[in-house]
Amino acid sequence: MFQEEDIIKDLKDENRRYQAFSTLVKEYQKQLYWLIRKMVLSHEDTNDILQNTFLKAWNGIDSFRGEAKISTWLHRIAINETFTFLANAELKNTQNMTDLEDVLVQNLKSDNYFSGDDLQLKLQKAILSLPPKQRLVFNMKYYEDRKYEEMEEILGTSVGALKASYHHAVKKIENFILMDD
Amino acid sequence: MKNESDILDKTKGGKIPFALPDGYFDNFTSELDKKIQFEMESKRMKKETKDVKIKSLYNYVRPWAYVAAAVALLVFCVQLIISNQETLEASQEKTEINNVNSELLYTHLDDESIMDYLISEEE
Repeated sequence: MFQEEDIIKDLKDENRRYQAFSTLVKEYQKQLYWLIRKMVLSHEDTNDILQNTFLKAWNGIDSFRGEAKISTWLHRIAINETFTFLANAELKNTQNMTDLEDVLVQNLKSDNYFSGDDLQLKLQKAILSLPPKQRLVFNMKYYEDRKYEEMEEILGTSVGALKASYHHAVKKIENFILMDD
Repeated sequence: MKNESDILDKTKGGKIPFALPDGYFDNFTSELDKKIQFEMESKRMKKETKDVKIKSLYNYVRPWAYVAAAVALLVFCVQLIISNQETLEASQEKTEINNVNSELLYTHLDDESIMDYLISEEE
C-alpha cells in the first residue's frame, strides 16, 4: 500500500530512491496522464509530456523538501510541462499562421485514440476555446470532480477565484455550443 | 431550441472520450525505467569524468610543484651561501686592511717609538 511518509523517507535515501520512485510512478501515472491528455488531446503528445514530467521529478528529488504533498508536487510539474508544451505549440502555429485550437480539433478528428461521438467532439471544441488555465480548472472539476481545496493547493489560486473561473468556463462553453448549432 | 446545459449534463461524469493503446501504462513504466537508468548512468559517468579530470590535473601539476619547490630551495641556498661568502670576504678584507695599516704605521715610526708603544701595551 502507498504510504506517502515512507515514500518521502525512501526518496531521500540514495539506496532506496530508485525503488521508491518506481512506486511513485505506478501510483500517479494514470492520474497525471489523464490530466495532461485532456489538455493536449493527443496521446503521443501526452506520452512525451508525461515522460518529461517524471524525468524532471526524478532529477529534482533533492529539491523536494516535503513541504507539499508528493501528489501536489507532481501535479505542478505536469501542469508546468503541459503549459510549456502548449505555449511552444501556440508559437509554432502563430509562425505558420494557423490556429492551435483548429489544429488540435483536426488532430482529434483523425486521432485513432479519440473514442467520442459528435456530441463529445463538440464539447472538446468548446473546451478548447477556453484559455489554458481556465481549461485546466474546467477539466479538473467537470471530469474529475476534484475538490476546490485540492485545486487551490495545486494551482495556487484561491477557492473563490477557482469557483468563479469554473462558473465562467461553463457559461463560455454553453454559449460556444449554442453559437455552433 | 436546446437547453443551454444539455451537452454538459449529458457528458458530465460520463466516460472520457479518449482511448489508449493496449498495455500502455505497463509499457510506459518500462520505457521510463530505461530513461531513468540512462540518466543515472550519465550522471555517474559525468561524476567519474569530473573526478578523473581533477585527478589528472593534480597528477599534471604535482611534478611541476616539486620542481618549483626544489628550484626555490636551491635559489635560497645559493643566496645564503653568496651572502655568507660576501660577509666573510668583507671581514677578511677588513682584517687585511688593519694588518696593512699596522705594517704601514710601523714603517713610518722610529725604533724608539715602537719600543715605547710595545712597553706601554705590556703595562
